Amino acid sequence: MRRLILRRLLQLPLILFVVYTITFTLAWLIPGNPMEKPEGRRPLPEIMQAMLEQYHLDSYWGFYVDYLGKASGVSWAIGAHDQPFDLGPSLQHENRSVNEILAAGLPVSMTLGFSAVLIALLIGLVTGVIGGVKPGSFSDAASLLVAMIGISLPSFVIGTVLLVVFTVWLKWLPVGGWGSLATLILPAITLALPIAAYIARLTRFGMIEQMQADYVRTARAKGLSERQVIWKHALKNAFLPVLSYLGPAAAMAMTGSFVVEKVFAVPGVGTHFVEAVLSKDLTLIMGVTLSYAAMLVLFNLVVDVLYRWIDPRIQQA
Amino acid sequence: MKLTLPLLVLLSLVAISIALDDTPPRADLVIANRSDIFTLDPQRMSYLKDFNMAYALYEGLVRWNNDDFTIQPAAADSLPRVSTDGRTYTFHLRGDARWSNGDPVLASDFAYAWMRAMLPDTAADYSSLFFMIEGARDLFDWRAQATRAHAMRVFESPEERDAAAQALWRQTLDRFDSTVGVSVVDDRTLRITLDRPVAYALDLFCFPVFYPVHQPAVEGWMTDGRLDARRAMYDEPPPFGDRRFVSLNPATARLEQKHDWQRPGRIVCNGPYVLDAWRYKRDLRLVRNEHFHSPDIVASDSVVVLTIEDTNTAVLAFESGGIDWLTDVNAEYQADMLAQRRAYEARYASELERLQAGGATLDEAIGQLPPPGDGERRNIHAFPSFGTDFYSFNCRPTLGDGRVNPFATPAVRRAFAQSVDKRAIVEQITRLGEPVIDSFIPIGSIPGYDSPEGLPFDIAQARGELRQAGWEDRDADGLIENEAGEPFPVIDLLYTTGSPRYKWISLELKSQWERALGVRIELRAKETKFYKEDLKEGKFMIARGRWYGDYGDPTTFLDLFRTGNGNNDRGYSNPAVDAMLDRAESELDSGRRLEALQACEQYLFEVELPLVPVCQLLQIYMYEPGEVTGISGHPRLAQYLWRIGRVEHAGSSAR
Repeated sequence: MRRLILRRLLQLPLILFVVYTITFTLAWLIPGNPMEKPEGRRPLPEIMQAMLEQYHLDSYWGFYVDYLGKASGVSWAIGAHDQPFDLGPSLQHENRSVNEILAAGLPVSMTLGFSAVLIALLIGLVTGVIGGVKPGSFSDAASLLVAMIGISLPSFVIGTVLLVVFTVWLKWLPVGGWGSLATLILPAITLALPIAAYIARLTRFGMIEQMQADYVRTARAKGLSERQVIWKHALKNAFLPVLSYLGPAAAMAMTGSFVVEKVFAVPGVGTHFVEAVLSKDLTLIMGVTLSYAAMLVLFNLVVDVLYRWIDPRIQQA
Repeated sequence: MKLTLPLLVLLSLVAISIALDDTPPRADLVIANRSDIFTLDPQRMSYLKDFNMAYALYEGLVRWNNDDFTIQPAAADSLPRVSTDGRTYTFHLRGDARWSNGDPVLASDFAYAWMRAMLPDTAADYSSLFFMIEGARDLFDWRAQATRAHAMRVFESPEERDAAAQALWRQTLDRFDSTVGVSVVDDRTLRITLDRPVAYALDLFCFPVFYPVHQPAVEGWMTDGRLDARRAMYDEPPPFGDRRFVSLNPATARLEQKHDWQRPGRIVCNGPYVLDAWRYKRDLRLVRNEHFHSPDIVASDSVVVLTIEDTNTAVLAFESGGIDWLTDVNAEYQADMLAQRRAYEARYASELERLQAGGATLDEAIGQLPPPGDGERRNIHAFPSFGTDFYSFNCRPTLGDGRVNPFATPAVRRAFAQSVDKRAIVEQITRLGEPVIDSFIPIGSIPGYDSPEGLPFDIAQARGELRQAGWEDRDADGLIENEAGEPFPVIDLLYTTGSPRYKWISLELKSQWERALGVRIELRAKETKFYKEDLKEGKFMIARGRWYGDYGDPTTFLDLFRTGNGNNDRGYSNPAVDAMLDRAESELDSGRRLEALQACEQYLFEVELPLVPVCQLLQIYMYEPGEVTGISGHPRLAQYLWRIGRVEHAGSSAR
C-alpha cells in the first residue's frame, strides 16, 4: 500500500508536466489576443505591445519556460521569484491572481461536489438495490426509469425546473448564491442526479449478479433475514464497481460544473474554465487544468486505497 | 460497513465548509450585475459597471447631474476658472474633501492619477483622452520610446541596468512636472493647460478616468515592512523596495503595477462609499465613507453588488425579492416582459398622463397606480442608451483575400443602407421596440446637438443607386451583374455567436437584402475572439458591430471614422471627413463647432455610409417603480449608487 501511494505521488509531477505541455500548446493556438477585452475600446498599439511583453505573451517559449518555473515552484526554489506555485495573474481579470481565483472557487466547488456525491450515493444505492433484488418487477422498472431520466435530462433542465418549483412557486429555498445550507441543496441535487443514475445502474447489475451467488444462498440457508442478506452480504460485493466509478465521478463533481454553477449562481471554478478558454486567458486555463489533473490523480489514488482496504482480495493481486 | 468512517468525514467536511462561509445581513440596497467588476482602478476602467463603482468610491473635480448632464462641482468647490483662450482651467478644491483614511484630498492626488494614465506603463485604455492636455502625448511617446531603447541597450552589469532604469524613471517624473500642462499651484489649486481649446473638456473631467487616486495606497507604501497609506508617515516617497504594489522592471525600465491595492482594508477612496468586501464573482459590499464631506446626499448606508451570470436566474432572484435593482436584463423572454409592461401602461394611460402632468416622474406615477394584474408587469424598464447597434461595411479597396471590394463604392453602401427595413427588425425580430436610427449618434443624448436625418428606408431609391454603380439584373435571373456580366460577389456577412440577437438580425438582413437587391449573402457566425481577429484583418464584407459613446460630445462617435483610428474596423478612410473633423476641432465657438460636426455626420450618413445604423441600444433594468428611487433614465446611463435608495411603503410589495 505504501509503495502504491509513493509511486503515484512520484508520478504526479510527471503527469502534470505532460498535461501542462499539451494544454499550453493547445491554448496558445487559440486565435486572438488574451489582453483584449470582449467589448469596448482597444488600447493604443504601443500599450498593447507593452502588455504582451510584460506577460511574456510575445513568445511561446518565453511564456512556456517562465510560467513553468513559476507554477512548479522552481523559480521560487532558486530564488528568482517571491512566491512558490504562482499560477500568475489572470489575464482577463487583472485584479485577481489565478491562485486567488482557485482558492476562492475550489472550496465551493468541492463542497458542492462532496454533497452531490453523498446524495448520489444515497439515491443511487437505494434505487439500485430495489431494482436489483427483484429484476423484472414493477419496482425494477420504476428504478430503471428514474435512472434513465437522471442520465438523459440535461442539468440545465433539471436545474431550472427545480429552481422554478422550489424558489418561485413554493418559496422554500433561495434562488441562487452561496453561503448557507439552503443554497447548497438545489445545486447539489442537480449535480447528483446523473451520478445517482449511473450508480443505480451499476448497483442494480451488481445486485442481480450477487443475489444468485452461492454465498447468498448460504446466508439465506443459515436463516438470515432477507434484509441482512441484501444489505450486509450482497451489497458489499455489488458496491465494488460503484467504488471504482466514484473516483472519476468525485473528481468530475468536485472540479465544478459549468451548467450547475451558472444556473444557481454558485461561485465555483466550473464557470472559470469555459470562460477562460473563450477569452484565451492562458494563465487561468493552465491553473484550472493543472489543478483538475492533480485532483483526478489524487482521487483515483484515494479510491485505490479504499478499494484495497475494503476488499482484501485485491492486495494479493 | 467499513465505509461509514469515510462518509462521516465527508459529511463533516461539508458541514465545516458551510459553517466557515459567513453571510453578512442584507444591505440597504442590493443590486445585481451580470458579470464581476473588472477593476476599481479608475485609470484602468472601461466598462459601464466599473464606472458605476467609480462614481460610488471616488469623486472627481466635477460631476454630471446624471438626469440632464449639466455639470456641477464635486471635489472642486466651484466650477473652474477658464482662461479666455479656452486652454487653461483652474480648479480650487474644497477644504473638507478627505480620503477614507483621513488624509486631505490634494491637487497633487489628481496630478498623480493623471500622470499614471498618461504613461504607457499603466496600460490605460483611455490614455488618449489625456492627450488633449499640453505635453501629454509627447510624454507618452517619449516614455514608450525611451523604455524601448533601454530594453535594447546592453549593460555592463545588472547594477548598471538597474541604475539606468531608476534614472529613466526620475527623468520621467521631471518631464511630467516640467512639460505637461498639469500643475499643482498649491495643495488645493490645480491648473490644467490644454493643447488646444477642447469644448468638452469639462465633461471629460467628470469621466472616471480623471478621478484621483491615493498614491501611498495605490503603490503600497510601507514603513518597517508594513503597509501604511497614511501620508503623514512619509516625508518623501519611499524607495521602490518599500512600495509593495509597484516595481521597476530593470530589463524593460517599465513601471509594473500590481492590482492588490484594490482590496477591502487597503483601498483608499474619496467618494461617498468605501469598499467593505469583494469576493470574486460573488459580491462586493460598499459602506459609507465616514470621511465623505457631504453625507446627506447618500441615500443608502450599505450597498451590495451581486454577480449573477445566468440571465434567467437573475430574473428569478429579482422576482423572489432578493434584489432591488437588476442592472442588465437579458433573458430570452425579455420581449414578453416588456409587452406586459406596455399592457399595464396602456390600461392606466389616462391616470399616468394625469399624474405626470401633476409633476410626478414616470416611476413615481406608476408607483401610485394599483398593482399589475395577470399578464401585466411594471417592474421592467427599458432605457435607450448611449450606444448604437449597426452593421459595418468593409470600406477597404480590396477584401482580405485580395479580391476587389464592391463596398468600396459609396453608392453600393448607400443602396444597402437604404434597403434595410429597420422597423421590421425592432418590431418582429428583436421585439424590444428599440428606437430605430438612420444616423449614428443616439438621438437626444448630447445637449445642443441636432442629429441629421440620414437615409430613410427606400428600396426603389436603393435599386437606383445600384444601377448607377453599374449593378443591375441584366439576364433576368433575379441576381444583379456588372457591365461585364459578372455577378455581384456572394456577400460574406460576419456576426458573433453567443447571443441569439445577432443571429436573428443577421438572418433578417440577409433575407431583406436578397429580396430587395438581388444579391446573395452567406452568413458566417464566429466566436467573439475569432470575430475580432477577422474584423482587424478586414476579413468580412459586412459585419455586425456596436459602439457606446464615452463623453458628451459628437466626436466620441465620429472619431471612429478617422483614418487609422484604432476602432475603425471598417478601414474607412476619407480625407474629406478627416478634414471636417479637424476643422471642428479647431473651432472655438461651441455652437459653430456642433454645426460643423453635424455637417460631418450628415455627410457620413447621407452620402458615405461606412456602416448602416440599425437602432439605438437599450439598457433594460428591473426595479419596483416608486420603491427604488434615484435611477437615472438619461441615455448616458451614469448611475450614482449613492443616489439610489429604497422607499418602503405599505402595499408596495405586490409585484
